[in-house]
Amino acid sequence: MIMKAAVVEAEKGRSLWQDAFQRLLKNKMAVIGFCYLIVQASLAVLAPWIASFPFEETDLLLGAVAPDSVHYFGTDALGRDMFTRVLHGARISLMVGILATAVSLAIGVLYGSISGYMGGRVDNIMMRLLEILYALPFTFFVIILMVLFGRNIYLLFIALGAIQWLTMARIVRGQVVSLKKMEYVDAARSMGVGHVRIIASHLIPNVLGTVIVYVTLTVPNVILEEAFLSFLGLGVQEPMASWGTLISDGVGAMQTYPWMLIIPCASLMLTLLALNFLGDGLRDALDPQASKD
Amino acid sequence: MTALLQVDELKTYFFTRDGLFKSVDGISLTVKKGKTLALVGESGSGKSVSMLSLLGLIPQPPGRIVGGKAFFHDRDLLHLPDRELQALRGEKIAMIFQDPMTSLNPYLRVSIQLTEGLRAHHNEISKKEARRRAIEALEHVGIPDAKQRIDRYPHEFSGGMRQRVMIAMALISRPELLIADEPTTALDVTIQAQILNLLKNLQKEMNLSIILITHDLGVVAGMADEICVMYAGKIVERGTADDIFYTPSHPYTIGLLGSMPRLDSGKGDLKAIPGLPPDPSRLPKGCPFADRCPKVMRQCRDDHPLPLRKYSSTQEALCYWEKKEGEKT
Amino acid sequence: MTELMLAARDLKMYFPTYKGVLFRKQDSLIQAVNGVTLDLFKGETLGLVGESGCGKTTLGRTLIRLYSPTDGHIELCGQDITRLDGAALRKHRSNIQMIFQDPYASLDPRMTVFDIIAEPIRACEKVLARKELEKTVADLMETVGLSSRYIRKYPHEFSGGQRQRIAIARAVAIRPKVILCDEPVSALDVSIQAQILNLLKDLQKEFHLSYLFIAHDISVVRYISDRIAVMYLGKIVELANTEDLFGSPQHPYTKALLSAVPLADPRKERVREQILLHGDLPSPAHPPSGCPFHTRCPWKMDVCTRVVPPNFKAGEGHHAACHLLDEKLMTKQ
Repeated sequence: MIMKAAVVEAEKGRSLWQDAFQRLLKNKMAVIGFCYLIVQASLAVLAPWIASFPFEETDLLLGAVAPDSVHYFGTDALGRDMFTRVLHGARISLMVGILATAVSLAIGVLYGSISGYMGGRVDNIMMRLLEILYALPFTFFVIILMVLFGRNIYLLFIALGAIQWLTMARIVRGQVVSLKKMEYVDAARSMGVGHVRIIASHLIPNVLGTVIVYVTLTVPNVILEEAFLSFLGLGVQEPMASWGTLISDGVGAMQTYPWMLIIPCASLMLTLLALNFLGDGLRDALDPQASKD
Repeated sequence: MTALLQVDELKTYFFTRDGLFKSVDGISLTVKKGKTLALVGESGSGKSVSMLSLLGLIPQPPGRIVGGKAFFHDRDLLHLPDRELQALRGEKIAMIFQDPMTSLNPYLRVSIQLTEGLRAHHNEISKKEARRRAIEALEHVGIPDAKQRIDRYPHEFSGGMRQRVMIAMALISRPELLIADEPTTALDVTIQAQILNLLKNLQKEMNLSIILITHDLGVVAGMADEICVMYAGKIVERGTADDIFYTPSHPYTIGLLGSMPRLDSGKGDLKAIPGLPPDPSRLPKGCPFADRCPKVMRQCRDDHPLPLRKYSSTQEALCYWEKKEGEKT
Repeated sequence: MTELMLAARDLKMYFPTYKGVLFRKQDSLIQAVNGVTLDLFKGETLGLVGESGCGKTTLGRTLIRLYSPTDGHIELCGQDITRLDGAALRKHRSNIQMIFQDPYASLDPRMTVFDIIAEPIRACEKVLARKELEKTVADLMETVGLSSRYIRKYPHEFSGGQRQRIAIARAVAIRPKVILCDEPVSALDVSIQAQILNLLKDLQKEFHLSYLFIAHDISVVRYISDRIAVMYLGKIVELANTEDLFGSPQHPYTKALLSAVPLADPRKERVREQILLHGDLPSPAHPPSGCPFHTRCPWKMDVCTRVVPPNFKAGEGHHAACHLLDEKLMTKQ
């Protein structure tokens, strides 16, 4: 006997995502970090309209001036407005961070989940390959790329992403290997659900939590690496600026024009700090068992 | 008959983000020398938490013992300084747990884990002497080739053997009280029989008092002298094994016995208890079993303390409903 | 004779274990299922009992083809599914479904109840409109005793017993003929366990299901089963109707197993005679020669260490693999 049921007043459930979001909201530092990032990102996007000077316009007659009411962050030795340049630097740095992470995410999740799900020999070969790639000195690798193909900002994204995906793939694989043994995956298999559907509907949603946390830690990593490459002179090209090139310039003028170093450094630091707070908060929110309750 | 442990109105609450959990809500019990008291209940009924409270093993916060007394000999366990309680733990009161795999450190040889506790309490015992006693303890719990096996790691023992090691570890300093928390739940039935027999023999030999925490009424029938049935943090019925099994008088006990498939009677339908145990953070007013109880009356949901009905010198139930003589249940 | 739903013929499932990282060498062979033959008929419940490590779970998973058997045959509703793969296998999966032990692990925590119960329906490609599907799922929920108001909820919002009801609704969703129950109540409390057992019995009547009911709890198996198979170290050592098995167990292992179960009756418990077995289950990677039980058997004979005992008939539909039942051998001695 099957009772006739009406589906009218179904109660809304609270998904694990919603739960996690509620927990995240309770974490003050994470919320502050998140808000800061939003503000920083919108400033970066709107930079051309906010900034009162074009970023490449030099004013050799003016030279370097300390911060005042016209040039909020002062100007550099060529008389370029630092406020404008820091905002445009944020554009590049954040874009590198986000795009390179996206590249690493795409390759890493795909590679890791295939390796973990297939298991056996395939997994073995894919993981050994990964280890070989790990062993390559990355700075060297980027330098070779830059030399071969010339300095190109898109190449930079790809190069940085191509390095970051290694760890991402490892993390995803580890997760998939343990998730694959969960009974709900067996249950799906016993019901005759296909491989693609199992990966898409059971495995990926369940690794997503870990992946998101890792992403928030990758973004600052990439930004730092870009800064490092730019510092070495391998990053973006003049007159474009990223936080890395600004810091690099600032170091040269550290003793005479300290604002040229302090301001981009502070911007970079605050952003990294905010990302780390957010990442920490996300980790606690998504995995409540791991944090002390 | 002297009481070894006397617990009075023990209350352990957990203060968490999700609310107040009254895990143990005023339980009283007496453990006599050389006897076995069984705490029976389903998961979440507070049976483990109550015993952990006695040993000061409740994580605080969020847990807090908000009331009660627990006299072991003449000392109140609940108000003992940490140091003294620690000295008592393992020495006079020992505990064994459900899962012998997680309660042994996988990276340490069994010999070290066995002698560790002994030497912590008695630093006058030499290493050699401790080892000798450890081997003796292992032989005592029926581990063959104890001399060789003592230097192995926990994973080299089977589940049943690990539980024997745990028992040896608990009994090595000759405690007076053994708290056994689901000691056979993780074991197979033939191994369970071995372990239960071992516990019974050791009890006779050492005049040991045992508190047996379990959800399995079958295990209790053969082991317990007195049984306390717990539900939602309260002891709802207590009595001797015969009282509980032949003349249960609390509707929950009756329901529990009726919902258990058994080997020794007909294959009649199981009478399941409808519904679910209450959420411990939102306990209803009055009797926590009222929503599932077939005998529920109006006063059961009143906000009054429940009456304790005495049926004999050994049996009592926390319930308004009174079972009449010979009433069919 | 009633219709044969699921049959195993001399089924073997071995797992190789490997040593080494880059060049893997086979280390040993775990003989989890070692020549099992059994039949499951329409509308009956066949209980499968045994202790942990005896291979009962592996047998279940092999029967539902989560594993590819090493040797032997599996027939499902008259079709040999031993070597089927991919889409061909998927087609037959609609005849057999499974209920798992742990209701916390067998439901995907990120799916709603609706998606969970609809999963097998979607998988067997019965294309239903969303509305229709919702109606079907809601009906299923009511059938297993869950309010359909909870259709949008997530598994973590339910208790263990309710989650097992969700798993049961999922298993009956596509009206399979056979359901494999792998310890479906052992993670539940006694009072909830009885609810689930009764639900399984009701569903069996309503949908004419055949159950293969795997459990280590002998009282539970006795309650729900029509026939019972006792498994030890990858082999079925005794198979009989429930009454016969409990009335006159033949195999020494069955006897020991039954005598070890504590009774919920203090007076009977005080006089219960136990056959205490010594030692532990041997490793399935190196099973003993001859009878697998001879290392622990109180009635061990010489022949037991050498010759694998065949099945001897002990009654109508009752057989056991023990040399003690070999009349010729026993009269000779």
